[in-house]
Amino acid sequence: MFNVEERGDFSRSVFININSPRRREHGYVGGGGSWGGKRKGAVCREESNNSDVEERCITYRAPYVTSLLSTLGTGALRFNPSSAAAVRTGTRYSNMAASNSDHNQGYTVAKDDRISRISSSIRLIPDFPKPGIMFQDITTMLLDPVAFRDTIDLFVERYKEKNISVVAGVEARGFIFGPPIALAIGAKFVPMRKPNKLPGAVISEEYSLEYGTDIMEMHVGAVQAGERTLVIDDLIATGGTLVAAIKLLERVGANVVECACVIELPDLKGRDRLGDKPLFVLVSSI
Amino acid sequence: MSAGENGDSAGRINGIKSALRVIPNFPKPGIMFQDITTLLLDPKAFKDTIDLFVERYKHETISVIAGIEARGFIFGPPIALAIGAKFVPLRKPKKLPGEVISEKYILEYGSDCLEMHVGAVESGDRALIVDDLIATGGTLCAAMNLLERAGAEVVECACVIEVPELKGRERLRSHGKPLYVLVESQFVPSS
Repeated sequence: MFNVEERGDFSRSVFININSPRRREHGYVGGGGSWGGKRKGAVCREESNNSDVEERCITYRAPYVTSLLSTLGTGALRFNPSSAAAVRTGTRYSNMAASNSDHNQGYTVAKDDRISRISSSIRLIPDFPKPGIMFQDITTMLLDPVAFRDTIDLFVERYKEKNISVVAGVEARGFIFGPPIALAIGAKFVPMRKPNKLPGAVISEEYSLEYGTDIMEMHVGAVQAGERTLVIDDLIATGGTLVAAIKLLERVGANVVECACVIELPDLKGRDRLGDKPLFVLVSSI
Repeated sequence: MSAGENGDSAGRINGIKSALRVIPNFPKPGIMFQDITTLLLDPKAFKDTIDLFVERYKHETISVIAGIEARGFIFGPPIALAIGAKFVPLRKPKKLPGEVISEKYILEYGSDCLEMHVGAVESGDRALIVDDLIATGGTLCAAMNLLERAGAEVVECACVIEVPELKGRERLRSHGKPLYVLVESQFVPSS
């Protein structure tokens, strides 16, 4: 039911083509034409006995094929080189959606033809900052003006009609993505910084790291009560940093509408740590 | 040169200047800190800031905008996006993953180091360096050296604010590099 295909020109990505007979039984969003060829990142909604199960389409990177195959069941997969574009997570995200009490969260992982270029432009650096960590390096995406432009456009398209008045960006990589979004939607940009960087009066929030704690600060007076706010960072891992940012904003009475990141590491369960705060990401990486 | 010499820009420059805030005695006594965060809270003034840079550079075939951590990350990317250039972050040590080149530079007390990714910039790239403010010019010179070591041509350095008393412009000029700023600010040492 799944074909795993490797594109020569995206040698670090694995695309999974859908050839599921189930798609004839159930409606799916974003269809049209052949699933594999045209709808990179499309979402298929499948009704099951007890709940809606959303299957989300995401590009996976080649190093993670092994873990992906074990998740989906090797028996269901065969390798078939071709130029397919659609990607699917199948079981994995179906389970995640079923356990999420809010099925109306919508497309919290982006579906779009631009995603594959963005995903491919992100570089993986093993053992940084310490052994065992696979670092997701967005600086290579910043070297691809089309991918960078598309990244910003995808966020702007989502938020421009949503009366967002504040984009809060977490130091330092949130400073790269937040301001272009803020400029495009006419919102203020508010930097959320490490201690002692912001001059003048600040409020502080302490948060936990794997070992020890850190502090995040925001300027007093930057955000007013009731302002509709986004929190932006390049990546969500455990969610600790984003939760600290949410707390700072809520302490001054802001309404945090959503958190938005380029990359999610779903295994670290940051989405769960955000609780009732929605999360929107472009790329989800095992 | 600075903006404001062009009459069309005068209104925008005034809006930008009045959106800036000065915080006395930060980070230490005697320093009047030029705070750009209030500019970022004024969407029109922030947009005008970016537009003034973009208007200056969009026909100059700039292929790289290098932004200095961290406030250069706020102004550099919007300019890069508007003119279709690469954005290259220049960072404090050990922040960039993978292979880097480093440039040490002298501070008032001690030294610091700026790093850039190997391969981000190529021979033949025409680069701008962007930061929120130029004081002595030490950081900008380190940035310039990194880009030139990688083979790029540094066309100009661009900052929102210049503190002229600290003579950063002269330091860049001694390296043959022009400086473009939007506003000049007074440096008022405490008595």
